Amino acid sequence: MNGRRFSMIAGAVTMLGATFALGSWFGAARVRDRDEWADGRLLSTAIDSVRANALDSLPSEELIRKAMSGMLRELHDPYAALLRPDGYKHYKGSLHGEGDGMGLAMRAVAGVVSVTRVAEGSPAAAAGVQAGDRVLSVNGVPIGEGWGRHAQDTSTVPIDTAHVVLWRVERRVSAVPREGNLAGISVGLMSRVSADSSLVATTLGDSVTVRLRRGTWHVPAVTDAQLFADSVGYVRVASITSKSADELEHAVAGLESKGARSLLLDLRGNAGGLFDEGVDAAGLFLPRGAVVASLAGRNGARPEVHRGKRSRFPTLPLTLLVDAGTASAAEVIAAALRDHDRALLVGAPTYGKGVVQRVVRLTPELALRLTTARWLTPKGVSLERRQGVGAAAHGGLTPDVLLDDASRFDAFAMPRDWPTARTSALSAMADSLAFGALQEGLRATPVAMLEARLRLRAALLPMAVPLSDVPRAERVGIVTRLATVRVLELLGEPAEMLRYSARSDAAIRAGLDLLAPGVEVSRVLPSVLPPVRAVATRSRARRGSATALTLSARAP
Amino acid sequence: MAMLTSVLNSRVVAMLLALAVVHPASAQPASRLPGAWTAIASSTPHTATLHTSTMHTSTLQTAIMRSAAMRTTAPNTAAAQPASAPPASAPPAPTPPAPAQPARAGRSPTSASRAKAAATARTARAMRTIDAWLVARYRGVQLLPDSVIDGAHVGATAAVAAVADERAATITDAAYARVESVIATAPADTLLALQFGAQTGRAPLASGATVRLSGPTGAISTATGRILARRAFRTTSTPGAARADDAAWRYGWAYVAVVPRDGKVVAGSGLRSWLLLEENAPVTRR
Repeated sequence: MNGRRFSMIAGAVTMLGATFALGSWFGAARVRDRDEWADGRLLSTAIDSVRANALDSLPSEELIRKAMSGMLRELHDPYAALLRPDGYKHYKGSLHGEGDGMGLAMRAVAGVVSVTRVAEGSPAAAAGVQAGDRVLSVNGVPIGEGWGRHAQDTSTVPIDTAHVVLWRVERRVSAVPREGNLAGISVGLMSRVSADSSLVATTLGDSVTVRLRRGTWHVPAVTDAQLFADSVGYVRVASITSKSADELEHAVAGLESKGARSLLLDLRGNAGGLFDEGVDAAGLFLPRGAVVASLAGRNGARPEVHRGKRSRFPTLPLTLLVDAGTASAAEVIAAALRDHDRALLVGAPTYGKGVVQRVVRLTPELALRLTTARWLTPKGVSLERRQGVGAAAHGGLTPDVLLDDASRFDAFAMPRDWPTARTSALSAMADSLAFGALQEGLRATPVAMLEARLRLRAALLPMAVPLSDVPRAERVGIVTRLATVRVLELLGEPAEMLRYSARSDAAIRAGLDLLAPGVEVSRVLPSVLPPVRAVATRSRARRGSATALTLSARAP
Repeated sequence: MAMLTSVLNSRVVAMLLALAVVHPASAQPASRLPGAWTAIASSTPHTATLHTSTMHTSTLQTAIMRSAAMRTTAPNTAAAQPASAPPASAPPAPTPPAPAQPARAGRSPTSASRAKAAATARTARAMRTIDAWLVARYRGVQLLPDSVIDGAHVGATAAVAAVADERAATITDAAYARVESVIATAPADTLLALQFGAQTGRAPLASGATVRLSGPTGAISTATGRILARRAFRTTSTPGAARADDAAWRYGWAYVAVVPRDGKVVAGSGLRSWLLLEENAPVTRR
């Protein structure tokens, strides 16, 4: 009886307690709701007040968006942003590897605009534009009269459709069998020509009109995958977008099948992208189950460990190239491979973006990008934003081999401080050499021979006035380089051009010194330039004594 | 047969004795000889002062600061570096050597000794420049005396020479030395060049040698430079390399050279990635 009474009392007390607790919770929730509603009403009242009373007011929508922007600004989070429709579309597209535009990369030197790269799958590629084409006019406007200002990137050109007139070197390759029978073949059939034949390339220029329409296409994350000398593969990953890990795996597997026994992975200028893709990409080179990174959220929560999903090349010798533009997910890869002793880093201190953002969709048109976590390397280190440059830099990832200049080398680059007249003269000399070489049928390979021949011809060229105060070896060297890459570009030899450019790329050289010490990626045949007297003599024979005397007087 | 074995054994014993007695740093892999690093460190201390006014860029200044930071933040690096690590100050750009003067009769011994002392000081400064640059460039680099590489000062026994040859094969059979860094000064630029080995038949550039300069595309300039100092070194080729694992290291030469600014060659950082060719090296003449 007593036990029953005790049970009833205990039950009643429990019910009372539960009721009290529930009531308290509901009460607190109501108070909280009421406070939030009160805050919301306050914000609404403030906006109404501004709209109704301010001298220079804005529409309600704009006021609300500016209020949100101000709120984000006060967080002092440099990566937080209110994404409006265009911004959201662009951001989402960049993370998913969607290109928007025409897909042309161009170079403008001394008023001459040339196509340097055509994105695979882009509208330009579909229209048949080729690297090396020269742009003469766009929608009837000749280059140099306005349109050329936007030549660097067609996505900034506010036109949807363009009629572009190009000038193209027509490459006609003839096979000359030893028997002496001439047989014209197309470039695409060059690989079928037997070793007994010699190839003769002849060139004819012609104008081509193409119609380009802006569109979207998939931009591959892996932009270069070549085999360098001595079984060293080279892969450049320009961004970490969706499918980056797959593309990287595919590229490395392809190089391995061609004989690569080590890999130079170029992450320079890679601003990152998707964290999970970075984790997957790093996991390819790590043992199965290795920790790639951890995410530490708010309030000291336990870090969330991330591991690579598949391990494909856990023992492949590897070197990473990094620079100040290597950031975010690309740093996740670099930090993981270094912490696991899988790779040495070569280049310059990285950006130091140790945080992760998340996009919160507010409406179909608006979204918030917020920093929601820090990522930690496998050794538990969080990267700090880099301050300073070079050896004095603090933050980011400090490379194992620190270079003076780790930037990617542009084989078409002119010396920075040269005046336009000088670069124009040099560019004209290089073009003249390149087209002359093509017309004479000089072969692109071996590149060292092509370069040596072009160098000799560059030394014999009459010197233009703007170049008179440039040391001869330097002038000849730059003209030779420009002419060589122009020939390689026009003959469609991207692999050779990459090797040739890599020779002057300090980071690639340093990376190769790690994987294959002493090996030249592209051979050099140093030679003494012909004496000025010889130049004068030959020039006299060709152009007359007046030119020859000028040359003799001016050659340094 | 027994005699042959006996001869071989005696040769082996002689070789072992030579290896053990004559010069341990040359006779054994450098990685097993911590004394070698101590020796070189004590002979070429990294202490240096920086003449900031002579620096074209801040790279070298900051490089030395980094080298100091590396010692405090990277235990692996500290272990791999010489015992006397450089302070947080940069080396001076070595002054270019004065033009060679013909020996004059009646020159006093005092002036001769003074000239010799000046040359020694110049070489020491050049060595400090090159050592500091290497330590800043390569995390965990080990600086070696030439003797570890070429055995030139030993040369007494075939055994030591054989070991030296084996070591030299990894370094001296190199591609061309290439300029990696430039300290722009007037009236001469100071070049820091590197050479790693793989090819056969090319000896390293000697200290004091005259070098021709070739552009990256192979156009040889009429200008010449002079090698002020050189340093053999080894640095890791794989991450986390153990000191005893010689296969995980690579060997190279670093050079410091000066080139006068006389208008024959591009000046300053434009010389980066140019090649250094020995004056008498065979080159193609066209």
